[in-house]
Amino acid sequence: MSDQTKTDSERVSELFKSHADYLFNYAITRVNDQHIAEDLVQDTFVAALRNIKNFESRSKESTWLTAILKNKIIDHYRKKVRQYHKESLDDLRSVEDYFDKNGKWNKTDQPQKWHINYNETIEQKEFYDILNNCLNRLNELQRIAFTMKHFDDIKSEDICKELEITSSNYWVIIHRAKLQLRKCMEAKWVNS
Amino acid sequence: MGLMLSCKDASELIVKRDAEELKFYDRMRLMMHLSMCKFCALFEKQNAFIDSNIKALDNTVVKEFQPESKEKILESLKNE
Repeated sequence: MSDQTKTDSERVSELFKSHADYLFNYAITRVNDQHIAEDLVQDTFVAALRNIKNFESRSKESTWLTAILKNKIIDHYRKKVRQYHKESLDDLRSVEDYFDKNGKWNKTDQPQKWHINYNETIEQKEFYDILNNCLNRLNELQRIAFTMKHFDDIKSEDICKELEITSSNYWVIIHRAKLQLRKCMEAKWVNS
Repeated sequence: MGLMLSCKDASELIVKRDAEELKFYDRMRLMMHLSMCKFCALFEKQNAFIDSNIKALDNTVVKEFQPESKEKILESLKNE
């Protein structure tokens, strides 16, 4: 090992120590699997090690590392969605089961009153644990589309392009995800 | 979709609305529906509430990075 590589590796180890927790959390909220999140973080640092010579300290370390991780996550999403395409998009259940044949809410799916202040920003950890739990109950495709839309603010048409799905499929996915998420929050948070 | 929206169509328009501007005709139909249907009005409110709080989830620690896993990765980086 040359001195130069040793220094690189030491630098990356230091980066790891200061940024690994943040990056792991970033990954796991997006992929919902501990092992995959760990792998993505590892891949990120392997890539960082290979490119550290090109890294200019002009940009922030965390920004640089997050950008690498983002690409790894998108690659992972694409792989996942391709599997869906292979198994056909049958899993893409429509929203039919929330409504009767006239398009009215089914009795069990009708939104109920929540006795909360809707303008309030919630700070309890419990709320976020439940929200995360409900998010994790979405199927993979819903979760991916939802996370890209709400965590990463990616435009709908770009999500469709990235995931190679049609706009109408995308809206079914999001519509169903939102119906499901609302119902889950009502059951687990409001009524618990 | 006729002049009267069903709840299914109304909830779809509510979901779509934050990504794309609805056509005037759809906006009118949705407004009319929401003024008459308390369930869809609740859906609209609750959906907006979840949307406005969901971003904060991104900055909440949902799971600790296991120290053993960290150690392993650090080791493997040394051997890269």
